This record gives sequence, C-alpha cells and structure tokens, in this order.
Amino acid sequence: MNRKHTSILSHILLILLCILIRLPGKKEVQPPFAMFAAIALMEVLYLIRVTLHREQLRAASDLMVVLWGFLILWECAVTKLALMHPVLVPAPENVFRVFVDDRKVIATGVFSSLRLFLSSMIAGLAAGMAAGLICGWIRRLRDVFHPIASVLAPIPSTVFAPYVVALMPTFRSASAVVLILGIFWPTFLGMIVRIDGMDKGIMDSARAMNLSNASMILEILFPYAFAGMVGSLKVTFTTGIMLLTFAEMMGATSGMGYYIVNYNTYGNYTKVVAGIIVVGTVVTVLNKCIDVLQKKLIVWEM
Amino acid sequence: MIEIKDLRYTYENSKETVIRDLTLTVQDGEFVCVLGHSGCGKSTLIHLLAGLLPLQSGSITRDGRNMNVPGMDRAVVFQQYSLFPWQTVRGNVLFAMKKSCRFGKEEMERRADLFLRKTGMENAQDKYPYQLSGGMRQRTAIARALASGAEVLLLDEPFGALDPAIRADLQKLLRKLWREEKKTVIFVTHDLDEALAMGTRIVFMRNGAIGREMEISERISECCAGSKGYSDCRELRASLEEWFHES
Repeated sequence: MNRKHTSILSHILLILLCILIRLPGKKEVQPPFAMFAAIALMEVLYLIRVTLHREQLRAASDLMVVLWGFLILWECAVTKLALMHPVLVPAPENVFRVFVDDRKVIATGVFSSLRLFLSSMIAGLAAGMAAGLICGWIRRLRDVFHPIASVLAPIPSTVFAPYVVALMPTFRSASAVVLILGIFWPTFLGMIVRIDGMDKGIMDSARAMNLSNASMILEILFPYAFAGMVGSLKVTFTTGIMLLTFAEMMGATSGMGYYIVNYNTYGNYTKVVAGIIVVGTVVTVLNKCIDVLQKKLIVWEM
Repeated sequence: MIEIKDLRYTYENSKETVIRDLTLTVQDGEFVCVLGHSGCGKSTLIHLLAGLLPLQSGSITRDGRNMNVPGMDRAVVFQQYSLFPWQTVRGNVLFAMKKSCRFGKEEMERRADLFLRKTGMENAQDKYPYQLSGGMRQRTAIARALASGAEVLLLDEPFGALDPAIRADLQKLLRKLWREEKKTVIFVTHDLDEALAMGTRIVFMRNGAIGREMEISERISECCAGSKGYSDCRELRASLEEWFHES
C-alpha cells in the first residue's frame, strides 16, 4: 500500500467514525460535540503536518489509520454495543466531554505540573551538568564521586520520599526535591562517563593548547557533553514525567498526576482516562519542543 | 633549536620501555621526518614533545627552555581527526589563535583568511567538521596549527588515514607551507616514500631509540615527490628500504 492509499484509507476511516458516532447506541452518553471537536483538531494537525512535510505523509497517515481505527473500536465496543465494563471503560463521548466540563481544573493542573516539572528539571540538569563537568575533568574528584554516583543513580529518588517529606517545609518543595534528585544523579553520572569516553583526538588537541581548567571545562568539555545531554533529553523528560506523577501523589492539591490519582480514588474512570490523555498530550508537546530545541541548539554532529 | 637528551618513557601498567635513551637535536626551520615501524615509539615521542605525556627521565628543551608541559609555541596535528566538532572550520582556526593570546582581533581575522586561503579551505570556512572529507579536515588542522603562530609543528602521521591521491596533495601543500612559513617541523610517519618526499632529514627509530639519521637534499625530495626523475633516487630508495626493514 503506497502513501496515497494510506492517506485515502485514513480519511475513509475518519468518515466511518463520524457516521458511527451519529448512529444510535446501546449506551446513554453525553452529546458528542466535544468528541467531534477533538477529531477535527486531530485532522487539522494531520493536514498541517503533511502540508509542511510532504515526506512525512506515509508516517502521518499510518498514525491516523491507527488512531481512527482505535476510536472506531472504542466507540463500537463501548457506546454502540456496550460490550465493555460500564465503569472501568468509559465511553469516548464522555471522556472528551470532560475536557469541556473540567477545562479550568485541567488547565490549572497542567500549569501547576509544568511549573514544578520545568523548574525542577532545569535545576536538576544544571546541577548535574555542572558537577559532572567538574568531577569529570578533575581526576581526583572523579575517583571519589564516580563510585558514589554509580550507587545512587540507579536508585529511584522516590525511595527517599518519606525522608524528603519529613525534611522539607511543604509537600510542593518535597515534590521538587524528589524530581531534582531523580534528574541530578543520572545526569551527573552521564556527564562523568561521557567526559571519560571523550574522543582522544579532541581531548589531546585541546590539551596541546595548554588551556586553563576553566577554559577546558567551559569551552571544550561543556559543548562536547552538552550535545549528549540534549540528545538524551527525551529519556530524561520521560523519567521526569514519571517522577512528577509520583511527586504529585505526595499531598499535592493540583497537577496532572494529582488529577488522575484523585479521581482514581473516587473510581471516576472517565476523568482518569481524560487525565491520561492530557498527560499524553503534554508529553507529546514537550517532545516536539525538545525536537525544536535539539535542532536549534545542536547544529553540528560528532 | 630543540634538544632531546637521554629521553626514556614507560607507560603506566606496562613493563616495556617505549622510549629508550633517545637523544636528538632539531635545528630551527628543519623538517625532520621520524620514520619507524608501528610500536617503535614515534607517537609517544610526539606526545612527549607536545607535553601531553609527563617526562619521566631525560630532558626536552627548546632554546634552553623546558618543553615538559603543553605550550602554544607548539602545535600538533594528529592522525585521528581532532577538530572541535561544535565549531566551524573558521571557528576552529580562530579558537587556536584566541588561546595563543598573540594576536589582536583584526590580526586574528586576517590570519584566519590567510591560512584558510593557503590551505584551500576558504570556500568551506563556514562548514562544520562533519560536513568535511578527511582531507579537508586535515587541511583545516594544518591551517589551525599554522595560524596559531606556533614555531614548532608536530605532526603524528597526519595523512595516514587518507587516500593516496589526497595524501600526495597534502604532502605537497605541507612542504610548500613549510617553505613559506619557515617553521620547525617534526613529522612522524611509517611510510618511507612520504619521509623522502617531505623531510630535510630522516630519523629512523628502532625500539624506542634513534637507529640512523640521514640528510635529504632538495633534489632527492623533489625526485621522490614525483616532480622530476633521477635514476640515483631509485637506488637510494632501494637502499633505504633495505635499511628501514632491517631496523
């Protein structure tokens, strides 16, 4: 199947989905306007993507086929045929309706989570990079801290949570510390390992210029290691999102993680699924931002 | 003048001494080719001269001053590509000059233009190293070394990884630049033809020490570089090859 056929198939599925939503079903659901709006938004984003990047038509169309196929299955199994558990698997119309009804709560939660997440990520990354650069370059420090980091980096920072909660003045600051610790140790260890494995030609070339320690760290090691750090940013962000969800379980009163955990406690799975979709959307947007950052910041290759 | 006296070097975790009581004098403006088989200590000698390895025994001086730490009086070109990948060709050349603290801003720009032109890199000056061929990377490394204002160029098999045609081009370029710039060059190679085409003197290394030395006249160099034909060059080469393989 060529890319044109895939594109046609995705649109056939889209039409089928829209017809299906309008047909009567076995289950009483909310009016489907929010779901139609979401579908329209997804289609517009798809069209923008394939218009700007013709070469991505096949990949984008494949993705849309999977997406529309999933929504058709969901709609059939829950709304039209009522085959699934009535509480655990909510109807798509009801889930999309949550985005309208809870828009203020969701927006506040996303803003709150992102503020905590981004500030902690920046602090953890900056501290990990700075300490890693210095310890990576000064052999004596590296010999001391490398074994310590090797032990601490694989331990999830969440195990320190009870101590952090006891030590920090607020739950929010405790959440920030858990996030920072979770980002700091892997970044610190990654920096040391990267500097240790630095290309010998580049290292010798820089050393032959008799650079000062400051110049070596800032002008040679930093740009070298920075590329690696930006390259692994997606993995770091994924770890960060997991930690954020955990951190928001520690007594938070808002946030994406809190929203899911809170409604999970009340057994409101419609809002839980809506919360999961919000987290997925935010992660996707963050990943796109990282792609843009990578292209802007690292214009060179090793 | 560079004077190397009774130099010895043994790598950590190794029982074998790589450099053994090596003594060598290099006059200002000379082009000395250090020739030897793999593992004879040629690259270690370059690293010691560059100050990249600590002196264990013996001395290396230039005009009476110790050369036991890296300094901007020397510039090194390695076999493996050693340009900074996050800087453009011009950025690499300017960086070395900036660190040498010898030139003002305008002078640095002028020298960058000059040496990029001399090495044929002026049209690629905004490219990053990953966008360059191996030959272009080494041209840039040579431009960086020359532009830095170093009096001594240390080259560790700089053309070893290149195709024969590109290598011949770069040999000619380096020889031309050496004549123009009047630098002292210590060039390490394991290729006899390269040594004959490039150097004013060939130093044969064997087991970490100097085996033999030989002055190379301009006439022989040109012959071996392929610009003229001499029957005695062929004979000389044959006898040197025998000599080289014996060592």
